[in-house]
Amino acid sequence: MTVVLNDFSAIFSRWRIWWIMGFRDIQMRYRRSFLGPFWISLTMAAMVFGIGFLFSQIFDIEFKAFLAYIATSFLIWGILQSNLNESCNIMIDSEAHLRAMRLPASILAAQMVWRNTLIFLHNLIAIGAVLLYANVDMSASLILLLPALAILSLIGFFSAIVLGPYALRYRDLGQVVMNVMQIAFFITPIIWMPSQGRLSSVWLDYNPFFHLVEIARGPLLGYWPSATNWAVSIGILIIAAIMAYVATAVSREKVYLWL
Amino acid sequence: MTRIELKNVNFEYPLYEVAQRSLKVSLIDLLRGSRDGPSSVHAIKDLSITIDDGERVGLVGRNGAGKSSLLRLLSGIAFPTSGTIKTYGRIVPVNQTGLGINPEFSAADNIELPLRFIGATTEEIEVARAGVREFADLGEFFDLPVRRYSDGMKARLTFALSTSIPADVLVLDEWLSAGDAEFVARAERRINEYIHRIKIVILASHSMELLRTVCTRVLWMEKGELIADGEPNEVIDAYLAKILDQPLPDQDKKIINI
Repeated sequence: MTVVLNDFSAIFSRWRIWWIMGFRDIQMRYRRSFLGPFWISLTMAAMVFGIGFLFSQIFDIEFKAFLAYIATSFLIWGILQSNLNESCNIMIDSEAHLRAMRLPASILAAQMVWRNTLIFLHNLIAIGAVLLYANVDMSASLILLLPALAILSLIGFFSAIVLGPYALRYRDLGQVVMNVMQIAFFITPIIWMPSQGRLSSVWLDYNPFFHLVEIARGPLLGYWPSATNWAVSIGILIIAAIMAYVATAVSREKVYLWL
Repeated sequence: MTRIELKNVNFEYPLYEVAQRSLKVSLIDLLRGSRDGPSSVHAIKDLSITIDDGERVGLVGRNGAGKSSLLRLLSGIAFPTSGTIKTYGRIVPVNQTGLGINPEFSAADNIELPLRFIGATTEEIEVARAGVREFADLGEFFDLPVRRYSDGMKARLTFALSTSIPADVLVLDEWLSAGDAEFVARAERRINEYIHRIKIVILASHSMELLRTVCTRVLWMEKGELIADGEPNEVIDAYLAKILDQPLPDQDKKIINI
């Protein structure tokens, strides 16, 4: 019991490790480029404008309203998708480290979440500008953005603790997760609006990703996410935390053997 | 108190084949009920030893004797399959690979992460900054990206980093493989000074000369078992008599440095 909790609390006692490693990931990716990490913002803005323009024509919806919707959806989906896909790589990417010292999964998970938070902040600049351009009415619901992001990041953190070690043991697990996320992208209202879908709202309620996206999208678009959205999201967080605890207890001593 | 206790430690590790790395294949095997697990290596067999404060322990044995496995268990990187390992004190594993050193950054910017990896505190890192610069002796290269360094310069940086914070237990696996003669001499001086301040040193080496001068106790391992444990000269002489008596596989011959 205590050894597992010690593994988790390493993110506080050894926070400089994930802090530096996450920061370095961003520095390495954009080193020697003129705009540096602001390429992230630019890429995001270009994609959102492109898809917004195309789909507003196809669906015949008002451009600015759809643009705002697409922009926030991509911003939020970006956190979820990168956190879950990269969950499978946290240990594979650090194989050399794990052969020479013990690093609990929690530190590598925190590194990933921190890196994705930095990317999110760059994206937020681009999406903020898009939202201003689209004249979105902000409301008091914006204060819920922070807890929503915290939930999404924590879910990413816990899923990395679960998936990281097992993706090391089973090298094709990463492909499975990527495929699941690809399907989730299409069945979740991200590039389409819930009102346009042929899926009845009952099916939407069974899609966990819908609730997770909603809790953060609502605050950005000026409406309040429903209580159900919050309840489901918090439920997922609790399940993820329990799974992370169990996975750590099972895998912590085996990670070296799985390298 | 610094102390290491091993009680009936066994260590086995699996050798996975490519197919056994696959979730799909593993699930199919599970459904079919075939239970061909991976073959495994029994690297450490029922080992019980106690290492006390002040001991300098050398490990000898041929390749595959279990030396590296033992060092990994002692450093807390790997866990025993059965048995218990109790360690008291801060253990610093020294690695030659320069973990945490990013070739895109200068030596100056590469000090913090490697030291954080081995558990240094902020104060220790501040102290280490000056020491590393001095010992690594890289001149103006210290502020240039590490990718421009020669192998010898990298070895100097890695070595300087590994020996720059105080530790209770130092675990060394065949250090000093790169670097010129002058550096090796300097490194030996530094490690002697450094080792002086460390309570327990455990080192695996094929250099018998080094083990004779540094160690107070030598463990001889063979196929995961402890063959002899005692006074360095006696154990080393017995070990050399044994291996020189037998014809050696070629790869072992060249690394035994008598």
